[in-house]
Amino acid sequence: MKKLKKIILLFISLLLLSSCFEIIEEITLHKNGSGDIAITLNLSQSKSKIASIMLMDSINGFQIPSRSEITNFVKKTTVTIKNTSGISNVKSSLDLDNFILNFSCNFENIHALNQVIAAFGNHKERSKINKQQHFIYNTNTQHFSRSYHYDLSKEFDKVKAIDKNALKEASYTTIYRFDQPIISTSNRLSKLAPNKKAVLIKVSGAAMLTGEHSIKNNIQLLKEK
Amino acid sequence: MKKKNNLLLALLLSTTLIFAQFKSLERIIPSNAEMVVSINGNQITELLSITNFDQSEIGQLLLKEMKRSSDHVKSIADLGFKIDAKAYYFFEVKENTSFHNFLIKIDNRENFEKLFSSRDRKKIEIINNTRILDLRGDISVWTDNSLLLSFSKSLHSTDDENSKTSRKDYALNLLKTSAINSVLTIPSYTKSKNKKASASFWVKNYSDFMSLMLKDVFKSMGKLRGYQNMDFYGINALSGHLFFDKDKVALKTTMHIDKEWQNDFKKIYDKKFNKKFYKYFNQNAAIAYFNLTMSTKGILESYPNIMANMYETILPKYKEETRVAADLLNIILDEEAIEELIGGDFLFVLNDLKQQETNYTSYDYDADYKKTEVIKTKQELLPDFTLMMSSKNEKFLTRIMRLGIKHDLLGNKGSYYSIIEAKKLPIDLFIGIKNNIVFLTSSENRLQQIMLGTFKSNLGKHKKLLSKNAMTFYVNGTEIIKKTPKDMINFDKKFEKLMKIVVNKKLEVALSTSKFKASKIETKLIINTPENEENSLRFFFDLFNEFVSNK
Repeated sequence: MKKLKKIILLFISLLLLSSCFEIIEEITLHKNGSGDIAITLNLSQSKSKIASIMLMDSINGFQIPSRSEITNFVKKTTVTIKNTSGISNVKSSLDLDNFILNFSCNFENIHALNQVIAAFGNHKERSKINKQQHFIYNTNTQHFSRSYHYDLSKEFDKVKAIDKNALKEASYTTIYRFDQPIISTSNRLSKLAPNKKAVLIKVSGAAMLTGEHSIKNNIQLLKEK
Repeated sequence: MKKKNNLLLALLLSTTLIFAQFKSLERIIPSNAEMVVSINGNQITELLSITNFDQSEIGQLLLKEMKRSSDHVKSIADLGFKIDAKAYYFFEVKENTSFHNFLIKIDNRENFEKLFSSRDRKKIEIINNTRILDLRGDISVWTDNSLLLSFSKSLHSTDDENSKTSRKDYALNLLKTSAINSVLTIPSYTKSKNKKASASFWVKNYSDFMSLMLKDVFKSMGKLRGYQNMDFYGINALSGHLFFDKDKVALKTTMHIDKEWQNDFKKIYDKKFNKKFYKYFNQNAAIAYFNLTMSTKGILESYPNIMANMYETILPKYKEETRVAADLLNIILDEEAIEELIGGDFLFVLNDLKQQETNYTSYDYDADYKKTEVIKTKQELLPDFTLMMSSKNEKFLTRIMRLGIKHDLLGNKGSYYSIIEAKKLPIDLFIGIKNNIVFLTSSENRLQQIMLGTFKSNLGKHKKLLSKNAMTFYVNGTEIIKKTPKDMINFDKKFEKLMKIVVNKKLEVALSTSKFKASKIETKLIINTPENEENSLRFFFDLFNEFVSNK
């Protein structure tokens, strides 16, 4: 009977092919290198599929985490971030009906911000992320850069054609706000706000994985005396 | 060494008898062959002419490729093979070498020989009108009208020069196969033959064949030592035929069950389809279904025995232990009580695929990229289905349902129940028990009709499929494609093109497994193709052409 349940559920989840999600990374960076970050992971567009999958223990040997396991992961990560020096005002909310995770905190300097990103990885990834520095900000030159060093295209080759199509619907958005106007950006997807103090990049999951586009950006701000 | 070999060849080939036999390809297949595949070129060329093939996209691609090396080839008929004759493949293992052999009729020897490079052609040996070519151990032997191709692979890890010489001898010896050694002396082979089939296969003993294939494929891996002689498939001879009719393709296979397993199979398949299921089946609301009719009692009684047989093969040391464990399991289980609760027959019907609008959260951004939450909608495809399962112990089931209500797993709907856990899903699920059948369905309306007795059944042609088989899997391909919105599945352009062709044409697939009868189980795969097409082979060939074509 348990097997039968699994078959029916798998069948339902297979029909719900559209596994789209969006990630939004918002950072407000002040001149002195302090600021705040908000990360939103929104899977609500695939909520039916996820809800069906979550009633199963595993798919093709891949363990499906339970609701409590997900809650625990978020709690643990939040605690890790709270205990990071230079971090304050940590807030997180998890909506397991719509599968939306909201996380935000304030940081005193760029080093603390990198620690926040590292905290979302596992132990091994954490030290790697720490070394690579996702964010660099030079208070003297007023230069801000966002980078990462994963080779996503290798991972993408492993993805099945049908899943690749689903990833087209997925997106990663970065929004960075500054005190002073932006002079130049390196990423050609950059869209500047009319006041020139904010920049938005939206990249589709597929374009990011094939390496066609990325969220990497070098931003030069106007130096004010 | 070479001289001695040539002498031997001359001796082998000097009898006229050999040539007489080589004219009938089938006769030289030895009785030791583990597997024989035949292709009935006559049938196939009647359904799909050589001209049609040559002019097709695939034909053109193939001919273009051939022209590069042999520029005389303008049609597949120019390859020198007699395409409208029967051709054979057979597999044999001798002295730890596996041989893959092909037997093909030739109608133009010169054309055939042009397929070899001029360098290779110089290596051809001619003895009494028989030509022999040994290309690094791949042997070709041919006359004016027949060809034998023999490829071999040593099952030892070393591959020495001696074994290569014996490969040539093997090929030449095949031509000597006498009427007493031929596969035609084996009753299971001759009985399996079917003149109407476009292609056929026959496996002498499935268990042996699988062991040999595993050896052949994994010889270098050396991991399979313990499993090399496994004999737990329970299948003796296996044969099958492929038919291309006007409006359907059929693949029919027959499995002969080993004597020692027959009793177990008999018990497992000792179950009749629950005819009460008919009352709740409507062919106009069934785009796919799956049914399984097996005896729970038979499975429970035979399972320990089958497992014991398997473990005895894998772990012969623990033969006594496995037997005791099997008997113990038989004592503990009350097969009849379980049979009463779970009948062992299931019918799953996919009634419909429905589009439903669902909400999701997304974000909009203002000029300064401040985000605000917005609710958007999208279409989702949801299955509407009914599962039926027979059970004679309604009392016990009703008690389970009451327990479910007590623990908030089930909702009480009067004569039926709703599953509360399903609330997390985009579809609803309901359970009802009536006429010794447990119903699980996504449609409350349908379950209400079933409980009230107002459900209208319509069996049509499906009655035969359901009642005559132990297992049936049916899919109405056209309906499924029709119901799936194009934007929902982002197949690539080629698939999209195919879907467009198929969507307006009738396409149904039915896979069924017969009951166990006269020590055999028959499996049929039938694909119904549109009636207004020339024939089913043409239909699939044209479809495939459309797929490879870049136009």
